[in-house]
Amino acid sequence: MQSPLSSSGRLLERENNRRSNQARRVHCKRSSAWADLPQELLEIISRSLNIVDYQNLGRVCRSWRLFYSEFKQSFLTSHSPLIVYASTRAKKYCYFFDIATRMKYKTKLPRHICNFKFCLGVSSGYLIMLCLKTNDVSRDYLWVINPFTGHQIQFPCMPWPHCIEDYHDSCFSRSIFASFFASFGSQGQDFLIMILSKYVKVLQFCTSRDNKWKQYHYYNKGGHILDRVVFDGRIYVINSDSRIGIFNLRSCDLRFLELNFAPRFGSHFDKSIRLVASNGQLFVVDSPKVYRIDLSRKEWMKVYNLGDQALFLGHGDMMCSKVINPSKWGGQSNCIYDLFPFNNKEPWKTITRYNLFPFNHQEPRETIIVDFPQKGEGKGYASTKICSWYFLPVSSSIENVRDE
Amino acid sequence: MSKLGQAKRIIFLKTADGQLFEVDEPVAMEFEIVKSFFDENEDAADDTVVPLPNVSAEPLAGIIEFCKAHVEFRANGAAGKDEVKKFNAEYIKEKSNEQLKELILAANYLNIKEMLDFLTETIANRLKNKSVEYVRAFFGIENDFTPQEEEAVRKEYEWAFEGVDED
Repeated sequence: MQSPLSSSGRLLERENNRRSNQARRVHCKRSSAWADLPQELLEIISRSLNIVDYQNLGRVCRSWRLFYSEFKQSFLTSHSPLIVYASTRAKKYCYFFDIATRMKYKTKLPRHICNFKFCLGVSSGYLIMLCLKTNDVSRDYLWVINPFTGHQIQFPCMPWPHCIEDYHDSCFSRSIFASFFASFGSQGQDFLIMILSKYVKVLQFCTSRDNKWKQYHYYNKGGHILDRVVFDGRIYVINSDSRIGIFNLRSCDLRFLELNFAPRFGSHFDKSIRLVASNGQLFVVDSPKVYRIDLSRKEWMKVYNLGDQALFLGHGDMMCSKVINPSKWGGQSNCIYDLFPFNNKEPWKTITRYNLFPFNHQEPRETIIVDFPQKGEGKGYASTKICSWYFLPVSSSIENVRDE
Repeated sequence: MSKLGQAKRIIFLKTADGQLFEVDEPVAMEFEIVKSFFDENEDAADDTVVPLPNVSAEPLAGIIEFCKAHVEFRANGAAGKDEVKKFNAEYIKEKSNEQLKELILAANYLNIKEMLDFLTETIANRLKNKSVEYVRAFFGIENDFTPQEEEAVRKEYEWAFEGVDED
């Protein structure tokens, strides 16, 4: 019995070496503390934790914190997009809803936000809030905050629309089409905020470098700009003539691309046309129609099948849309998750829901209602209203616009 | 593999502390590390002793008990039923924290998927919805952050997500 033991022992040892060497090293130290649990085990354990539990795990001790930081990104990508929500009366909290687990989270908004605020949009994981001082218009400002990391930055208030104090929230939000926030420059050291107006053909933007607003009027450049997106380090816009252009910040110039097979959008002014950049691809969504822009072939291509991806389509001014693979958290692929925060029949009740539109028309459509804490009815005057998709995995990586 | 075909085969396992275990083949084959050893050494003698230099006798005994029960459950078609849940609950109830940790490290080394899933889920349940202080006390983990790190962590968690109580 002795001889086979020694030979097989060596063989087994070799086999062992092939197995996770790192885990073995940790194990071989014969450490007796839970703190030294191998990362591969913590990784399995964390799979069934929610975000709150996972964050707590990172506060227990140094080695668990190291694990927390190293695996955070993969943890977040295995979770569904959230719906971020704040009711019209919300002062203190904004809420998040995980559509896969139906788990709700909240996070405190800082106290110093004044009493008068609108959310203009959600961009790069940041909420863009307009804070108004009722008694002193000159002290109005834009306050951009990431509710997940807590990073915040202030910009002066944009020059247009004027006389903000005359607007009430619904009217105000209708005068702004889209706003976005991005980092700017090669190191991402500066920040950029840009606002599209609905009624005036002007692009307004401000960088943290000069802290001054610039305006670009495009009266002589065709239709209204309907949406904008940061794609491959550039700002792409789309106008109502279904033309796609690139806006250069430095030269303050808009240049349209020559693309074949552009469809015609209806003449409807309020039509929601969306530019969506995801996975290195640029899409135009005229829901439920989706087009992919092939920049190398210079053409529009209608998308009939999203494959293993799904489009998360934001609503209204809060537009924050992405194409992602939902398989990691058990979502449905090849469909549109259309977030729709308002109830047409009873507009005073803000019921949040999202619709699932499969690309394959044989599959049934579905409507899912999300019940958020409602504090009072939504007749709020001058108050926050946020309802948008929120993509945690990208919430700490701001889209970057190159300075060129 | 066994030349005797149907005859019940015994696998010999030797732990780090020198204990020799005789384990029924189907139970030992639950251990991926043992299984792949025999897969790659098809002509290994029947009385080959597989050394397990990273596992000591106590957790191995516990693991054999668990795997034996689960192999039987599967043979009886009881997998996934209440009987199994009841066994698992009883099994874990008797284990101290220290034993649980030895078990999970050993199950990880031996690469026993079913048991590892069960043990990691058990630990996850002890973390879910618990405060940091509770977790530290429960698992006997020392707070080894320096005051500066502690402050940085605290700052970061001013922004942490909180759960929402359903009312």
